[in-house]
Amino acid sequence: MRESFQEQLRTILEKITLMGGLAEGMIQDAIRGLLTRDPSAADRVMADERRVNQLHLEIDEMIVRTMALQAPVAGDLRFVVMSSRVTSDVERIGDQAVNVVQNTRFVLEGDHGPILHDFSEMGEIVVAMVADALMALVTRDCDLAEQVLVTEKQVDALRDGIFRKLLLNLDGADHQTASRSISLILISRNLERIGDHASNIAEEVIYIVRGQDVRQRYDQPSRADGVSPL
Amino acid sequence: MEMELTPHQKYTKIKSGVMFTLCCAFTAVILAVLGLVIGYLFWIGASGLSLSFFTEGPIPIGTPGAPGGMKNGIVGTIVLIALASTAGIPIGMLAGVFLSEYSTRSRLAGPVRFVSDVLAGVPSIVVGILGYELLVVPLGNYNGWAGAVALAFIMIPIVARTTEEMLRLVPNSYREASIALGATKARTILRVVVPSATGSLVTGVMLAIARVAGETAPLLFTALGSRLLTLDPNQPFPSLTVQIFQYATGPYKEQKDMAWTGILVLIFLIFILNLAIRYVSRSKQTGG
Amino acid sequence: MTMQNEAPTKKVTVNQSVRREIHTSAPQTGAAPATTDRSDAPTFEKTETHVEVDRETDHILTVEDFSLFYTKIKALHGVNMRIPKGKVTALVGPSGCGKSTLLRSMNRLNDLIDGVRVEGTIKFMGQDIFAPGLDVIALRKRMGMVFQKPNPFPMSIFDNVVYGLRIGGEKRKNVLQEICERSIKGAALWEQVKDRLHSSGLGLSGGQQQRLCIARAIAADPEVLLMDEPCSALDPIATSKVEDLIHTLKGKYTIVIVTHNMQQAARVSDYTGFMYLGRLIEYGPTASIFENPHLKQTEDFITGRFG
Repeated sequence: MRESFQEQLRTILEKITLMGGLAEGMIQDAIRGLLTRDPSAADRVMADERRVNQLHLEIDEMIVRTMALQAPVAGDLRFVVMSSRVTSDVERIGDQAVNVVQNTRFVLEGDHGPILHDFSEMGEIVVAMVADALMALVTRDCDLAEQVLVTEKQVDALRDGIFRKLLLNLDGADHQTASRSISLILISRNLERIGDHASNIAEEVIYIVRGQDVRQRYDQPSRADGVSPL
Repeated sequence: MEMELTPHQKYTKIKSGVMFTLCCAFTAVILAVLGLVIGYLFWIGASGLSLSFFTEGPIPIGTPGAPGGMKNGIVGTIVLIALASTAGIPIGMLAGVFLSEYSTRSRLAGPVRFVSDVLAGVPSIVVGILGYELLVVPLGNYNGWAGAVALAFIMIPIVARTTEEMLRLVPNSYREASIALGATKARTILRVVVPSATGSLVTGVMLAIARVAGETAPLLFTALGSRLLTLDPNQPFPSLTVQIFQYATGPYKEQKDMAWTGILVLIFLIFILNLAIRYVSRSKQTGG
Repeated sequence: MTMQNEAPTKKVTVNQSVRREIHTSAPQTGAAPATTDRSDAPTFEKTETHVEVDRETDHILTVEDFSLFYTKIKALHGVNMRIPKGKVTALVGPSGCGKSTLLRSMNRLNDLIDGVRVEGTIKFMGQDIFAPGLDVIALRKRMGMVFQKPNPFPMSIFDNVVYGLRIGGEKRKNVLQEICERSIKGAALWEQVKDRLHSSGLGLSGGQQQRLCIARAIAADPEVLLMDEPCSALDPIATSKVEDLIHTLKGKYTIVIVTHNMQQAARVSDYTGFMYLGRLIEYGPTASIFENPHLKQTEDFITGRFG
């Protein structure tokens, strides 16, 4: 029944997945660019970002059209409305990856010191979070979504750890070292924001599947109080 | 671009054409026959049409003014129809209402409908004999009452069946709406169902009247016919149809000619009645 | 360093596996394979009634374990339903699910059909309407009914509207006129017919005729309005006028509306009951039913996946 409508819903989901895949790649490229100092990574990220933004527009247009023409209700309605949010979150993930690339430029100027292993770990975790959140959307798996929400704590902890470690570097440091440390702190912030967005997607998935709004339940207090001023 | 027909299509087209031609031809035949009949009647009967036909009763051959007119017959037919209707229409309509509105709940409906159909199919001469036994023998002489009763017997099944059919055509939604407003069944029938079918019911009545206006056989055994203009139903009663019959089978040529004129007038009357039926039913349809 | 080797392969794998998921699963957003709070059971035991219905304090009609038989065929199976007073309750479901039958049982219009037998009961204001001594005529006067096809009587507009009153024995001209005006105004039809109250009701357009039927139904001041697909024979503008009318009438009247148009049920009603094969499957506030129904069957129906 309503084959063309089902087709439209599938297409929206496919495009979101496509966009998500691109965003994941962008994060991986950005991290690799940071860790291996590969300049080509930055170019790939910028190219992908254009594609991500284009998909964002396409998906939003499809969402409005589906609402107008098909008048979805119940689960379909929740899916269509929330897809708009998911798409925004994915687009912002892309933005954050671009920010990482931009901050990396300042990190790589001059100093060739080692990058904290924490970054590689953080990068892996947030990529996994994004992948899991999108997989949860496709398979309608609330347990997987809840796992993503729990993982966020780890990401926050890593960000805080990086901050503490790099703060030490700032004491009496020269201009370049300070610039480098601050940029790394900003990158950790970017990665943490990516984790936030992945969590948002997971919350949206739970709403789509169960009709439960879990946003208040999973909002972490550590975001609100000032462990780090970032 | 030329559209070429396939052989099969050509064959179908020709077949269509042939059928159409046949239909037209047969229609023409029917119209021709009708035209011939009416034409013949006109030719034979029109000569007798005069004012005296309508204003004078029969005058015996041999006396001045013969053969006179058929005023008695015309008036007689009208009176008989009126009398028959006073019994035939109410009984027929009530039977029709019963069959239409109450039939699902009653075991009586089936038998009533059956009897009605049988009665409708009975040859009218049999009805005449019935009338003879019921009203001529006890009263001792042929009389107008018996004639009216015989005609009523013919009218009742017609009115009953048409009433039933027309009431069945009234959409059930009217009945439901009325009941839903808290009306009783009787009130619903009286105030909603019957009024909404008025036009068609009138048509049914007029059909019955047109039918009995042309009946001869039953009247032969009941009203017998009379040369006098009388309004007393206790006596033998005149009617146009019987009058025509008697003139046509009589010995005098002038009367035979008058019979033709009578037939013409009778047909004309029925024709007018049919037109009136159509007019009434059409106007009721549009007005609702 | 660990990232470099993993990055490309991981990206492709995730994408591919996700893509495969989309194409192999059934309509993704409708079917809910993994969640636990959807009852997939095809057999039906009890109506899923949302708690909000029970929280309503005043139920003007209660359907209790109600079953209806058309001679041998069971059309309604043990329906349990409580209609809240002053609200609009919609009955939806595929053709033949029994929603019209249930509606017509409420004013015992099904009595007109031969061979109808009922079990269980329906209570109107606490009284069993199938009790042997009950005056059906009086019951029907307290309920107004509007049908699918507008059916004004072949009488003048005025006679149509006061028909119910005249049945009740009301003869006083001024009373009839006053109530007629009030009812027609209540049906949002006054401006269009005030100058031709004595012309035939059949001369109005479809939408006007239906509003005339509504005026006729409310003239006798019923407590409940039963509407059987009132807009299905009307064009969209007439439909929207009737829907606006329903909106103004509720509160004063309790309205039960049967509709096959999901959007209409969503627009117009406070509570919605979903029926299927003679059973009430789910019943709750319209917003809940349309945002997040409890049962998969309900969801499948309202999203158009079956029925």
